[in-house]
Amino acid sequence: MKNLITLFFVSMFILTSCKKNIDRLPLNNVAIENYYKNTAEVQIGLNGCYAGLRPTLIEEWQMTELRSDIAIMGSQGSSSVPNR
Amino acid sequence: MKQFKFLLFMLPLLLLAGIACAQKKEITGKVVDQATGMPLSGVSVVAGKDKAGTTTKEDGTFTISVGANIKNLTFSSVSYGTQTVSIGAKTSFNVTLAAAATTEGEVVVIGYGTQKRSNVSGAVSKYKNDRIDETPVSRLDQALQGKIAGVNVQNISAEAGAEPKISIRGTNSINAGAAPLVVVDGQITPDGLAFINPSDVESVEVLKDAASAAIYGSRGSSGVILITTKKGVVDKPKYNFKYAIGFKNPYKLYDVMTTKEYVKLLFDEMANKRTDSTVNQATNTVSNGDRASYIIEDQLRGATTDWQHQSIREGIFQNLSLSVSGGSKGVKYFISTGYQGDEGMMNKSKYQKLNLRIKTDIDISKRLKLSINLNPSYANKESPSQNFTNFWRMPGWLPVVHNEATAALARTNPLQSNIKAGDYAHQRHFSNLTYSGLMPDGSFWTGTGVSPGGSAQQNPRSDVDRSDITSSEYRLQAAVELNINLAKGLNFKTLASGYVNYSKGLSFQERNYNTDGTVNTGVFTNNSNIYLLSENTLNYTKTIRDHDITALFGVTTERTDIVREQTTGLDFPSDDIRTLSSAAQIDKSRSTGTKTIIGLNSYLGRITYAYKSKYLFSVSERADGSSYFGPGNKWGSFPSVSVGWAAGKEKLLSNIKWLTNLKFRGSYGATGNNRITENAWIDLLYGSNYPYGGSSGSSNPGLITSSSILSNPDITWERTFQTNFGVDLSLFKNRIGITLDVYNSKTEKLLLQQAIMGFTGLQQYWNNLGSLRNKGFEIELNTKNIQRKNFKWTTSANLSANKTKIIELGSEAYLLNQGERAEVYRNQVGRPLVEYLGFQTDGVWLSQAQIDAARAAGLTSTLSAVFTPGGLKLVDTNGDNKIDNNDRVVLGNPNPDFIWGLTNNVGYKGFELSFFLQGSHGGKLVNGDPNYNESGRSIRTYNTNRWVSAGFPGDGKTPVTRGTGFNWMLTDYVIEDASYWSLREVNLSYSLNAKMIKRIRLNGARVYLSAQNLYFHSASNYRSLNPEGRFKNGPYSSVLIDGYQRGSFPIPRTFLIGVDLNF
Repeated sequence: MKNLITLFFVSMFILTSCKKNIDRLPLNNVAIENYYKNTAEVQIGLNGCYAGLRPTLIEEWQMTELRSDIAIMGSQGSSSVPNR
Repeated sequence: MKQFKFLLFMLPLLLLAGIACAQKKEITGKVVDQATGMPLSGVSVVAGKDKAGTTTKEDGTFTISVGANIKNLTFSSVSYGTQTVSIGAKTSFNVTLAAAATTEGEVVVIGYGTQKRSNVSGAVSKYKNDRIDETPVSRLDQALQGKIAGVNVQNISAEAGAEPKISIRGTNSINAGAAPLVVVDGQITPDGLAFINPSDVESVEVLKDAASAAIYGSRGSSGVILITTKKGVVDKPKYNFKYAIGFKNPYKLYDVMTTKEYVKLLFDEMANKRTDSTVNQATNTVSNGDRASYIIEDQLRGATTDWQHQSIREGIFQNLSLSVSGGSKGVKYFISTGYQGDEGMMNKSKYQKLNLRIKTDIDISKRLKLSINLNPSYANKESPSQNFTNFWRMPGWLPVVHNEATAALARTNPLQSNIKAGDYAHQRHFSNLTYSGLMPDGSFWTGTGVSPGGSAQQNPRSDVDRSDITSSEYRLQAAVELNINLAKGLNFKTLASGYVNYSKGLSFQERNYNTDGTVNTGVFTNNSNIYLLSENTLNYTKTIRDHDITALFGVTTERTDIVREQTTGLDFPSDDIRTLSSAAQIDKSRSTGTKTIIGLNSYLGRITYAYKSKYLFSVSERADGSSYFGPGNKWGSFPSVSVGWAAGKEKLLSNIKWLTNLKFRGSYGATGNNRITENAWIDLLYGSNYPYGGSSGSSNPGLITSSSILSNPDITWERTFQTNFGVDLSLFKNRIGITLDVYNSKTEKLLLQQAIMGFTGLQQYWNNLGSLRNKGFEIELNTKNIQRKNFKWTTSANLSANKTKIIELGSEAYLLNQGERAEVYRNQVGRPLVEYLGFQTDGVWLSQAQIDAARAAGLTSTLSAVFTPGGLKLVDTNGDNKIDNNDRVVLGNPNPDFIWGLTNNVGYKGFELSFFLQGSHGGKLVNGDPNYNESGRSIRTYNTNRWVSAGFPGDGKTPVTRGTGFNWMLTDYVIEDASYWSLREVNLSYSLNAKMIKRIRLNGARVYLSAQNLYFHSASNYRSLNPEGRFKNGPYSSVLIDGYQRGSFPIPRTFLIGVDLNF
């Protein structure tokens, strides 16, 4: 009888000490606060920044050269005269 | 050795018993059911005020020895109540018991425990039906439709094994999940309603009000459905075998015109228009495409294709279950197996389920009880790749496969020289060809470069036949429960439970499956969900004179592991080899994976107090700590309080004869919703790889923050506060029972995306901002109309109404959302959750003259295609003579005004008839089907009613074609009444009487006929086939964009014949 009560309280104690169970970080992605801790991680972070700049370089011509007179417009399969 | 000791110990007792018997007399008898006359086993028979007695045997007989001074015998059973008879001089009794006239003794499962029905002060509905497994549906949730007040089950898809939409007391979340929590035998099982074998179900309880659901804390805000499975009782082994087989077919199909009929109609219209002076005769002709299609159907094929039946078939439905239960004093068991095979009425729609359940209760010692519950199950599902719209919109002239004539025609295009008879035909095969043949008016016509059909639409049969969408699910629910009796009334229960669901799916499209040249594609999915629960509760019950006290304290820990993976392989060497390793390429853009672990620690407590079962009081509290939230916000508290007053037990009212029971209930509680977007509290880094060089260049791994939404460390639970008032009333010795509940709930801290300042570099962030209100009432009525020995009739009915209103949307006054056809759904503060916003129409413009007159009167518009003869005529609702977006008005909302269910059970001798009616009224839907059917020109009612010319305006309401005039999808032309009522279920059974059963050496035998959807009544302005159907993909997965229908399969009608044997 007494053993059972002790068992109960022990089990309660085990459970309450399970704080770890609810202190979890996401597993799909790295959390910002745990990153950028060493050179390699900063390097990877920088790669990400460059990747973010790529679309700008890819699309920049749409804003500049496309609008100038050096561009010829026309779409594949279209029978209309280009650059009209 | 031990047994020997035990026997030795027992010996003196046996001797004592022998001595005692000497002074007693023996009484024998038989107990039968009052209504059916069937013998009742397991009825306890107690002499006088003795505590122990005997129970009746299988054949209803009993033998009991009673002392000479004992005057009464008491017969009691849980489902038959208690009856006392005086002994007198008789030694033989035939007792008839009527099924429990009282619900007083009924026990209700309330979460982490049970409670006597008479002491319940919250809003808890119990549904118990031994024959729920005879409903011709493959899932428990479908069988619950309309059975419980306040629970709205909508079969949004007619596919086999499809999940219905369930809501309890309305919608109370926008971005988090709003489905009720499902608990099977204490274990949270999100898909519990899907896999459980309906034969295993003892009862289903629904915790509706916040005070009852608060014991489930952070997951209770959408209500809780508790499923309790059967268990064994101390008895001889009892076997039950049930088998039913039947078929499914569609309730109704569209009335579709053949191409011949359609082109004939066009020629008739052309002839009519010749007599109409408003028609420009130069353009009055039948198009070349229509003429060509007539030639194909009439002269090349001599037949039409019934596309609806290319999708529909007769499906076989089977249900098999075998169970054994029983037990001796120490061990009780319930073992069951079940198989359900539901062949959908659509080609390639199938759902199969296999279940095994082993439940044992072992008394290890007087104080120690062990229960083990194991339930492995397997299910597989197959779905068609095309919806129903894509079938019936196909024109009848298009053959499923080419015949010699059509193949020869297609080969006249040199690019299609490889087409031969037997190949799947596509509309594009008939494009740009030369046609010549006879027309319906007898003329001969030749055309070159004619395309009778479009090029984009694929032959749906080719698509369905050459793609497979399959998934298999392997589930195991396992639980071990140890019950320790610490002291009198004090029990400690520890439950270790696990639920594992592993599912894998393959969606495979064969090479060239709808277009020549497409590579074969296989999408492989692997999902695993593991739920682990450790639950420790202390339960204390104490009765001191008139005071009933119960107390509960518990600690639970849960962990959920969810892994989802999807890999897409392209270009398999053969369509028969479907392993990922044989794919020539892996499509990385369609390969994803996530892994999540969620932890939940909880403390819970409840105290109930009842004085003379008259004054009832209950408080509960749950504290939940979840890994879903950031530091400092992990813990939430969910208290509740409820009171009850059994006024009928007061002296003043207890004298009223017709009043059996009257109870008032009131409750208030808080519940939460933690199914919010994961990790809204923390900023994360996402993969952002940087490729160097050209195509052969390498890619360097990179990480960057999300570019659209900022986290908010203060994110917390959505919370619902609900007040509930209820009345339980029973009259005329429980012949009539009425339960009424009204509630008002407010959900706040709804998770929404809020716009933020541009300097953050982001557009939005997560915040707990919104608020919703749900108000409604529920009525349950149970009556016993006729209670005779041979004739019994009972009725149970329920009706519920709910309104959901938006109280707050953060800084927004309203949100306008668009569906796939640009139709507008408005969510406005102070208004119902979803409203359709669009233009009112007043028929069609009958003629150009009518338009000219309206314009002359000053009517203008900034919108396009408003003034077209035969097009929809928009109403200038604000009267400013200008038709623009300001004229849009609310055209309805998807929420039904009320839903109801009505069950009648009529029993005459061995026959029993049960019929169940169910309905939903007042909801509106946006029908996307007209957008397809009426432009595809296949529906007969549309074609015969539409506007043709000023002289032939049809019915004045049906527009000319979809492409002409104002866009139908933005108007009330597509808003239809979603109300319906149906004769959902009918079950007619015959039980063999006791004599016949004895002859065949069984304990019971029944045969039954069961049918579903024998009659289905939909609203008069409803044009499609299934008013319950809803489209839930893409934008429609949001609760803010609700009520759209497209491509729904017809309502299935099912007939079953079954046997039910007990031995």
